[in-house]
Parts: sequence; C-alpha cells; structure tokens
Amino acid sequence: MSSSTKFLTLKTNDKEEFVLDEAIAIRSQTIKNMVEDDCVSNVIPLPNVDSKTMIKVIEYWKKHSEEGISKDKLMDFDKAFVKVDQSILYALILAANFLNDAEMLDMICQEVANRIKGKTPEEIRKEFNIENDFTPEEEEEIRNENVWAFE
Amino acid sequence: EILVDILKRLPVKSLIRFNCVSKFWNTLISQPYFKKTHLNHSNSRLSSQKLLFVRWDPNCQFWSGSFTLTEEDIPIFDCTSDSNIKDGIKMYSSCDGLFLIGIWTDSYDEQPSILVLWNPSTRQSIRLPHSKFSFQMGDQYENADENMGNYSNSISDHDDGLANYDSKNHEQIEDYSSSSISDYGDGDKGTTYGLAFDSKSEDYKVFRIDMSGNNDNEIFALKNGSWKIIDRKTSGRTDSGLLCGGELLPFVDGAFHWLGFLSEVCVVSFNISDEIYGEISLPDIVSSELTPFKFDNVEVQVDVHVGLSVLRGRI
Repeated sequence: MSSSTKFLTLKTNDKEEFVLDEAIAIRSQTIKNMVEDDCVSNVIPLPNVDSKTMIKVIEYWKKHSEEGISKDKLMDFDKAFVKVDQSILYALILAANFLNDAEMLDMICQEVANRIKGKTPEEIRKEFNIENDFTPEEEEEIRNENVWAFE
Repeated sequence: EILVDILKRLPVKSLIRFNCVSKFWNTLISQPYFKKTHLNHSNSRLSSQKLLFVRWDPNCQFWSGSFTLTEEDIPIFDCTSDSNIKDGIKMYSSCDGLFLIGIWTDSYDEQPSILVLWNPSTRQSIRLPHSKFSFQMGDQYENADENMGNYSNSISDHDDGLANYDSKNHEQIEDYSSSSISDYGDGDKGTTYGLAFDSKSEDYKVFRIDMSGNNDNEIFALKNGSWKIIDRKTSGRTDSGLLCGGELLPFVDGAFHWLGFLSEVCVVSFNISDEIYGEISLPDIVSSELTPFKFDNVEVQVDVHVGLSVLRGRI
C-alpha cells in the first residue's frame, strides 16, 4: 500500500522541485491517491501548478499540519493567507482543485464569494472577463424582474 | 465546477443580480442542480440560518433575524403588499426557507382568505388555490376549476423552482379570491396546514388536515398545482381529527405527526410520499392522563426522533 519513501518530490510546471514530507503532501487527495496506488516514482509532476503558487500551497499545508496549533491561530493564518491579489487567489483555486484539497478549496472559494457578493454585474464581467451576450432588451427584462436586487 | 463552488456561497440577492451577467451564468444559476447545491450549502451553515418573525407596528411587517445575533434584524419586503391584511396572518409551517402563510382579510372567516407560499429570500410568492372543500358545488366550483387549470399551467412553469433560492420571475400571483373566497361556508371550520419536502417525488407538498375529522384531508403537490383528496381506503385512514397540541404538525421521517384519536388517544402520522396514515400509541401514563380531561386545555408537545417518539403532555 504505502510508499516506503518518507519524502516526496513535487515538480511544478515551471520545472521547480519541492521536497516535502509525505505526511504533509498527502493533504492533497490527488497525491494521496498516487501514493496509495503505489504509482509514485521519484518525482510527482504537477502540470497544473506553478512554483509561485506551490510555495503558497506548501506554506498553507505546513501551517495546518503543525502539531498543537490553536484554532484561533489557524483562523488568523487563513485570514492573512487569502489577503492576496486576485490573480494569485485564482491560481490557488485551480491548484487546490487540481490537488484536491477540499479544505483549502473551501476557504478560498469563500474568500472569492465574499469579494464578489457586493459587486454589480458589470464589475463581475470585468472581473472574470465575461462577455455580455444578452441584448440590451434581454438584460433589461431580467433586471426588471427583480429590481430590488439591484438597489 | 469551481464556479458553482463559489456561487453557492453567495447570498440570494447577489445571485439574482448576477443572473444578468451572461447567458451562461443565468442558466447556471437557474438550474435545479444549482438551487439544491445552494440550499444544501446554506443549511450546513449556522451563519446563514435566519429567523422570520412578524411585527405589528401598526401594520403587519416581516422581519428577518439571524441566530448569531451579530447581524441586525432587517425588515423584509413582504409577500402581501398586494393584499389587504386586515385581520391577521398566521405562519402555518416552513420548510427550506419557504413559508406557508395564511392571510385573513375578513375576521369572520374561520379559514384564511388567502394561502400563500412565500420565499422571503427571493421575494417570490405563490398563492395556493383554495382546497376542494371550499367550493364543492355549483357554478362556483366550475369557475374555480377553470382558474385552477390556468393556475397549474403557470405553476408547472415553476416546477422545481421553489427551492431556497430561485431566480424565475414572480408573476405567478393570480387572483383566486374573487371566485372562491365568498364561498367559505361553515363546513370549513378548523383546518390546519403543514408544508414539507417530499424527497421521493422531489416536490414540496402542503398537507391540509381537517381538525374535526368530518371532512377529508387533502394534499397539495406544488408540481401539480392542485389539491387532492386523500383516499380513505388506500391511505388506511380511520377517522381522526386533530385533537389538540397546537396546530403545528411536526414533520419527521417523511411524515407529519399530530395527536389524534383512533381507538384511543395516539399519535397519528401521515406519510406524504406514500400518502398513508400511521399510528403510534402513547405510553399508558400519558393517555390515561389525557382521557379524563377530554383534551381540553391540554397542551402536548410531540417530538418524534428517528424511530422513537417522545411525548410530553401537560395540563
């Protein structure tokens, strides 16, 4: 079942290598499955993650793996952790999704939700680079159905 | 997939606004799957649990409060602005953020003039047609039936739309009162209603019980948009009205429960999926205490846990 190596080497898409304690790395369900299926060779490639993002992920994993750390401290850490640029946050979401770390994904999605919940549709389009494919009439109609939501 | 994960965390108001971001977002947000996801997510968080309450100052106003007490209570735009609440309202039941509310516009009526299913988060409401017992004979019935046809069309549009969050339009309020309200007779005394989600048919259902036990009980499935009398033969019903214990019908394990009288006082249950009645007998000590008092002024709380009933009777 489990691999005999205690350390895993993770290789990001920009060819950086990270050596990490297996116990920490298996916070990623993706890596955990690989380890359990015994298909771990020397290096685990992470084609969807760049090194800059991986540094953040490992920082998160290490903090959350600290023994005896209090809940309050973790909450403070999480709060500070998500105070990053939009672009980094989105890279983290993709990474957390690929690595299948539900806890981290949950936290970051919540942060994105908090950031966008007060925005207007125009701001959302700009934020996510979405094209408005409604005709002005169609959009008007949708707005008129629930005017209160735009107040 | 990730987008859903983010959107499910947004308040309803934001979602309604984001309906017009793009066609893709509109479709995504309107999907039944998304509504369910959003509902499950909200249910799993204490911070998104809200209380709905009514204040009279001097008019009826609905307020929303949170359990966490960190947020201030906020007034809500209510479902009743189109109607004239003169003589009271009553919240019968609630389920998944939907409320079943009776509105009286005439204090002499035993029954609410209007029965409304309301989602305060989306500000949508649906006026339920009156049940069959309100207009059993003559022209009025046919008249109402015709209306009912229209109504069910509009309601089937709505279909799965009434989960906690729903984005479809709320033009569904049609005026039923004109054809049926005047018809409320003496025969329609003492009924109460329960609202619940039937996980088998994936539909919300309203159960109407005649407290006297004289008339048939009825069930209203939102997808059908009409009332149906519960067949006494197939449902295993032995005559039992609602004795007392308030007019709330606790809903556990797919069934409503109330205190009724079959051969003796017992807990009567009604399963909304199979439409079958059941009976749970009371511990002797409770039933003997209840009997001599002819159930006057007896307040009974029914708490049914999985497979186990806990009753507390007090005088």
